[in-house]
Order: sequence, then C-alpha cells, then structure tokens
Amino acid sequence: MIRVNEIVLERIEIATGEVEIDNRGVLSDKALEATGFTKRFIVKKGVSLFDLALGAASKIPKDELVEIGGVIAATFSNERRFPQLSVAVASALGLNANIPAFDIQMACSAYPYALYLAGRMAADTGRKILVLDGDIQSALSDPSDVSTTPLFTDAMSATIVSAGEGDSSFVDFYSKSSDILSCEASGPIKMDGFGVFSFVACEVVPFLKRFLAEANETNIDAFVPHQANMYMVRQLANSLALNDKLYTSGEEFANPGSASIPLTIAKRGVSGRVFIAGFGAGLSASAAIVTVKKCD
Amino acid sequence: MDVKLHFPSEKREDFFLLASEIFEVERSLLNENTRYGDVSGWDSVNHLRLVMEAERRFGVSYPLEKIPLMRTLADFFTI
Repeated sequence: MIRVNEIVLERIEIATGEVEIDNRGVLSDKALEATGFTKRFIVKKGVSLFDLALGAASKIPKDELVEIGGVIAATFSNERRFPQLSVAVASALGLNANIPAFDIQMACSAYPYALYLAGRMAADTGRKILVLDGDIQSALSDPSDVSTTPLFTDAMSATIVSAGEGDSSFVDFYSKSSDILSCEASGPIKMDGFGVFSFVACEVVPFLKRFLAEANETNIDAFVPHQANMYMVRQLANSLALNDKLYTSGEEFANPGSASIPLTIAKRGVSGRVFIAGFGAGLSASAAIVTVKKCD
Repeated sequence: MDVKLHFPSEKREDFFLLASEIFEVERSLLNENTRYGDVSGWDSVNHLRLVMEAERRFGVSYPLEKIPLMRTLADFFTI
C-alpha cells in the first residue's frame, strides 16, 4: 500500500458508443441474470478511439483546459501504435506542447494506475492532469464468442486530476502473468470466465481486504469497483462489507473495461471519499482511495 | 478462517434435485461426496449457476472467496 498526496478528481466527462445493442436473445436468461447486462453500446462504423477520446475531452470547458499540465491516456485498443492517443488528443485540444503526454496500458485495472501517476504529476507540477481512460472493445471482440462480446461496451472517459491538500490518498497494485485473459495484437479478446472469477474470488478479494486494513480509512463515502459483471460486483461488495456504499452502472452500460469506474462515478453522481478497485488482464488488480469533487 | 454457513437441513433434498436439474443427470448419481468433475454436467459454468440458484432458492449466501473452492456437494452445506 502506498500513501500519496490527496488525489482529487475535479471533473469526469464520458463518451460512449452510440449504437445500442440488446443482449436479450444473445445471452441466455441465466447469463443475463448473472451479468446483469441487458444492453451494451458500441461505436458506429468508422469511429476511431481518437474520435471517442476527443468526444469525451471536448466536453471539458475551455477555461479548465488551460490549467492542464499533462495528459495520460490509459487504453489497450488504440488502432495505431503511434502517434500515441495522449499526444494526439493533447494536440487536438490545443494544449501546450511543452507538457508530458504519454500512454499506459493496464486493461481493466488501468484507472487507479493512471490516477496514481496523475496525482504525482499534479503534486510535482502544481498543475492539473488530464486522464483519458477507455477503449473500443468491440473492435477487438469476436462477434461469435458469446462469452465475451455481449459483455463489452465502448466508452472513453476524461478526468481532470489535481493534487489536494486534504487527507492523503492511498493506492496499491497487484499483478501476476496469466493467459486466462488474453488478446493478441489484432484480437480477439479471449477469456476463461471461471478462471477470471476464481482470480477475483481467491486473489483480488484478499488484496482489497489488505488494502483497506492498511489504509485504515474510516470515512469511505462510496465503493466503485470495475463493472465486470453484476453478480461478481455484488458479491465483492458483500465480501468487503461495503454493500451499502456500492455504486454500479453495469446494469445500464455493461462492461466498458477500465472506463467502468469513471463512468460509474460520473453517471451516478458519486462524490466524497471514494474507494475504487480495478481488476482484469495481466492478471492484475488495482485499488485507490481518492477524493471526488461534486460536479454541478 | 472457516465461515459457518447455515443451510437448512430440510432443504438438502431440494438442493440435490436442483443440482440434478442443472447438471442434467439422474438424482441417484448425486450425494454429498460427489466432486466437481465426477459428473459431466458439473463444469465451471454450471458450478456458478448452482451457486446462484442455491442462493436464491434457499436463502444462503456463499462468500465470494469460497465459491471456486467448493469442490464437493457437501461444501454447499457447510464451509
């Protein structure tokens, strides 16, 4: 567990795919019940990851963009190895060229990783950092694989991060290599569902319990985990005794990868001291307690 | 640490009938000692189906950390 300066999320903007897909008739009744994902959203043909990212970031008011002193893009689905998504969006927004802009890749665990880096950069520079987090998962999915494709939504988030002067934030990370969740360069995403479930049950739960015990945070206002599937999310909250703090969005937006955490915070109006947890490919897991400002 | 699970004893036969239905095997093939993989229908997907349906029908709650470790039908009664 790493104790850091307060990481403050000042604003989160979201862009999702515009095409709504009904999962009823695709997933069995039992799979619908387990996942809770009755619908998902994918981008229209021809929409790129850059388009989706700019769509989210462009919602940030211009007077807030001038305060940005760095850009981090967390994604695994950039169609192009370079130019990097962070650099492309920074230029498109007209940001100063003399700021750090770089991409990271940690699949569904990425958001807490990106916030940790952004929080350090914000503290070091005294400026705000733009975190872009999300993916076009549909482009890397096998349409015939009902164990993966119906779960995934395309979405991108844009978060403004600053360094606060209040209570510390806490972050922690966990990883071990496994092919039970894999994706070659051109796809498709392949997943051993029960293997991932077992990883979450047997390794992520103890990791999160240790994190909470070490952070010893007594004032958690909300718990926002990665929206992998609704049964797992509810069971996870139950294991951590955080049922009454749990916020979810999967029942409306399915699984948008690592963007599920910022999407849930934005769409559900979450604010205060928020415990977030990511987990997924690597295999990996991440946790953070951050401060989320209430957005008007 | 073992978690005590209260599975109503009068419902145990109903549980075996549920497992028989989900695994698509004769009830006579199942008992408390039946292990994961002993019958072809008890695979990973049906394991989770049995967990979820048992929780709903019998009012029990299995700790997430224990679910992958439940390897005999007896494990559904006590953990």
